[in-house]
Amino acid sequence: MIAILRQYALVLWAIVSRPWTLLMLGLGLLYVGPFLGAWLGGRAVPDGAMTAVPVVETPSVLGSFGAAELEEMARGGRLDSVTDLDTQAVGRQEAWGLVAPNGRGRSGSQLTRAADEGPGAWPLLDRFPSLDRLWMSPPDMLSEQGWERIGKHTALEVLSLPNVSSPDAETLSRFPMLARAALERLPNLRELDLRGTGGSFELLLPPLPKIEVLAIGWGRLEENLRTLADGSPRLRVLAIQTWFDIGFTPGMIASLRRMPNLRAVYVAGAYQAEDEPAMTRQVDELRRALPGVRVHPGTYRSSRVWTSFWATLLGMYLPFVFWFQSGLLLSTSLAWMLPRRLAPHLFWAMAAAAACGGIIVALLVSAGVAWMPALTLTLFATMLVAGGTLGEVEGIAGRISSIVLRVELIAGLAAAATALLAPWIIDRWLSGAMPWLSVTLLAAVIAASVWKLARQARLPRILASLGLANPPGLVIDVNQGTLPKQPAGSFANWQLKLAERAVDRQIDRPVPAPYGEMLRRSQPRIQMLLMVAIMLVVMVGMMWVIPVVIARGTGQPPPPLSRYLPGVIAAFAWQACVMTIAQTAGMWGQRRGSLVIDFLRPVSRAGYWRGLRQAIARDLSLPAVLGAVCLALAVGLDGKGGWWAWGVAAILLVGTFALTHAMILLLAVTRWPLVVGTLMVVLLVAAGIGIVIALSHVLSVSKPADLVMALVAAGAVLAVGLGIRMGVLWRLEEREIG
Amino acid sequence: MSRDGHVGGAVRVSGLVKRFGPRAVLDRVDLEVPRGQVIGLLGLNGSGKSTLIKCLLGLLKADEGSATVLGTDAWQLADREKARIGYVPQEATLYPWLTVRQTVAYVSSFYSRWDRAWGEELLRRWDLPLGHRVGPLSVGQKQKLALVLALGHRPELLILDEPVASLDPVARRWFLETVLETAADGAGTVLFSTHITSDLERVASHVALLREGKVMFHDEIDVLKDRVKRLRIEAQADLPADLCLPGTLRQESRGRQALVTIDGVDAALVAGVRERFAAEVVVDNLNLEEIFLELHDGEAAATSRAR
Repeated sequence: MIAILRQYALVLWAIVSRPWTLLMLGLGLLYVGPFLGAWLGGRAVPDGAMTAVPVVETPSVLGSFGAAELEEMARGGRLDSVTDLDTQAVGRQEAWGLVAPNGRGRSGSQLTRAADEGPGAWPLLDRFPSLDRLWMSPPDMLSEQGWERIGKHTALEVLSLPNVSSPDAETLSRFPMLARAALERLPNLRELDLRGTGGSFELLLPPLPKIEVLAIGWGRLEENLRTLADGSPRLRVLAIQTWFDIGFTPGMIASLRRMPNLRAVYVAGAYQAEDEPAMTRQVDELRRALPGVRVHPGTYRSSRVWTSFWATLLGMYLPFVFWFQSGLLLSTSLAWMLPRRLAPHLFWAMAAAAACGGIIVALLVSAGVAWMPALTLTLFATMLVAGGTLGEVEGIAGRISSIVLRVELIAGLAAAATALLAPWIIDRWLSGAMPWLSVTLLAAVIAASVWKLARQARLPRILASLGLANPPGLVIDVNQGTLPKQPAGSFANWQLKLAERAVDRQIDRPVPAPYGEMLRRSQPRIQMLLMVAIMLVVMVGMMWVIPVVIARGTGQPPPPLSRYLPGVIAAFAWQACVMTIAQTAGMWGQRRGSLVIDFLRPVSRAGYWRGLRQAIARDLSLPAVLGAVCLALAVGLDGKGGWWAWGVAAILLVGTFALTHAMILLLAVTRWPLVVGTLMVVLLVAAGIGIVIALSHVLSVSKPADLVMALVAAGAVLAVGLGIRMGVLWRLEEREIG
Repeated sequence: MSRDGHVGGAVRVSGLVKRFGPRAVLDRVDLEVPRGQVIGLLGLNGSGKSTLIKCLLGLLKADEGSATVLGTDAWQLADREKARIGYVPQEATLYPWLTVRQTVAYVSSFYSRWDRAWGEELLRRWDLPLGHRVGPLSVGQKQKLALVLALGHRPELLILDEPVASLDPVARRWFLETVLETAADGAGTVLFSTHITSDLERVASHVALLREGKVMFHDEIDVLKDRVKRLRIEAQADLPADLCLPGTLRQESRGRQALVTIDGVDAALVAGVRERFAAEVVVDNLNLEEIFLELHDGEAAATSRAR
């Protein structure tokens, strides 16, 4: 018994005593912060915790793209042809300055008042006679003159005014009359959002013959539903703002049943977490009453979605360290020879997964996530990297593993994309409102986990049969030099052949060539380009497909592509930048051994170091371009920062890539690759935090830009980057090799 | 004189000191290797052989002293000198993702004087699979490939760090023949370290024995063999525990018989032993391995006795 306990203790010590393990566990703390923030945020702010599900279509242009477009049209004197106006997105003063007479230098709220009409009059609207879509949101207000001006835009098809208030008590009291008068003059309205507008309790809707999507408050609901049933045959989607203690009357139900094209109803009965059960009851009641119509909650808890997102990342990360070490230890020949080797190795990885998973489940449940989704997410996350043999193992087992890996990857990406585009759908599953989906997903995750555990248990035997030193996929082999022969016709084999041909072409290039160029010729880059291309196709494809799927599922129109495409490209550029940096680092890390031999080629000491520096710099050009695209889109999307935002972005780019170049150079020649590699990850994460801090202070939507803070953060990134680069390059030629 | 007219020794090491931390791995090493010589470096593990080779190649920098290779400071070797050097490390670290054919093509592109026919001949001789990737090759195959890469440009100086340990007997024979071919025209210099003394005896004319970072012996192998011999002594009466013979490396005495290995045996010494102990003395010649063992065991025993 003592011997067994001793063996368990020794295995634990072997796992945790490595500097890499400690560094990675330390790095994991970076994940804990956002998770706890999201979790505590969800618990500490019960009021306003629920967010309304958007139902009307959203503006097709965002941020600076809208402002820039507006500016251009104002300069060209073409404002009379503007059809879409989002008052919130086009908040830039320059834009208003051009649009409004004498408006330069004045705030947006100042520009919404006319000299003799007071706030909320929106004289600016007169300059847009062709508007057919208008979005306003708090802190916008509408006075009597404002409502009148809206009523003059008779071509309006989309009008979204959620929570737009009235400037004074008198206007508030007259709101039902003013709004009705305006709406009566808008016969073409297809989509209308009046949830919380001007205290809209008593608004009696006029006939809206072309309305398709409508969001309204609870006031006069019975009459309004009757009006809609009588005169709005095209109504597809209806969102109703209710209260937790209100039920639907038979009259309301009868009217809803008389709407021939009604596909979806959103019932918003909860504005804070504690009212959710009441909303669920209302939804259930209406669902029973309206068979054939999709009835969903009209509000959701975004904090629950983000808590779950960070919890999943946290759950992936910490057990990963143990699964990784367990896999590596199990794959050593010593482990193969040891009696009872399997149990202690699996035990500690499973113990880490269970401990981490237990904490995460408890936190998720306390954040309002139902038991089954909480278990599903936790199991998915903690077991994601278990079974280090997933992929690249031949035979049926290998195929099953490969399928498991791909399904998990696609499911994870789909869930992340859905959380981004339609978080209310994810929240519905998290709240436990989709029991069948919950059961199916939990069963699938359990099956995948059992399979992975079984593969992990067979790891030493699998490795021995394949003649491998490391589990495939566990240690990244960028050049795939240690992979066994791949089956003909497989994707892996095709990749290998592609890389082989690329190397042939490189080697066949004319000689002599600069030493740095010669160094690069032995390694293919095609796999890096392939990875970027696949990422691009997958991301853009999902962004194209998922909105359509969401639209079919909810009855809402898909958001226009132009709205999120720049964001998607920025996200892709960011991901691709990180991945290509990792690939470049892995590629040069793997050359450590052969670089010693390469030093003995006909090249001087100075030529060797110069060539190595240049070769790495050349390889970093792709991630640098991707990083530049990402930063340019981040700055361009917001567009409020002006030239200093571009300056800060440039400083960040230079600092980050100075750091990256130096660390990869060090990685290529160091005797401690694991420590240097981990240090590189830590430094790049720190630089990433610096980038976020710097950009958030020049691109902040909610507060004025803080140039000093942004420059301090960017300067820190630059100083660290250049400092480390100087340290690495200092007396580089004096450095011993090998 | 070398092929391109350079004169001077291939390798010259003077007072070389290399420390790792406080420990001197090489301690005032002196060594001179003329052009055209085949010299073996012999020493126990950790005696400093690989460190000496790395200093000669400019991979490590000497803390004191100097090392010149082909007339140039080893730390400052330029592309011209490196083009005339071939090197095979202890563990062949190549490019695992390339095929054998690609590896040879890639490495050859660095050398303007690569002898394509010679390279192909070596590949054929060692039966290397051209289309296979290097990663999954056996250790021996990788070592053969490393030899091809080191020999393909017909180097003037070939430095080999225990190159044959992982080769099979047939490949070892091919290898030794190739080394001899390299040195045959008198212009090629070969410096190689090995534990296999029989190989050394077969190809090397000279040997340098390293022990704890110092060169114990450096001369022709035949001189070493002439110097170090074993005396088998059989006396009329019991022999003393310590015969106190000059140059004794190791002594075993039992009653009237004794075995004594001596560095510096000559006729006078043998005659003196016969006379002093009234004994019959037979002088045994030793092979290199036996000498190597006697030198190290004897030194160790002497050190132990001194303590």
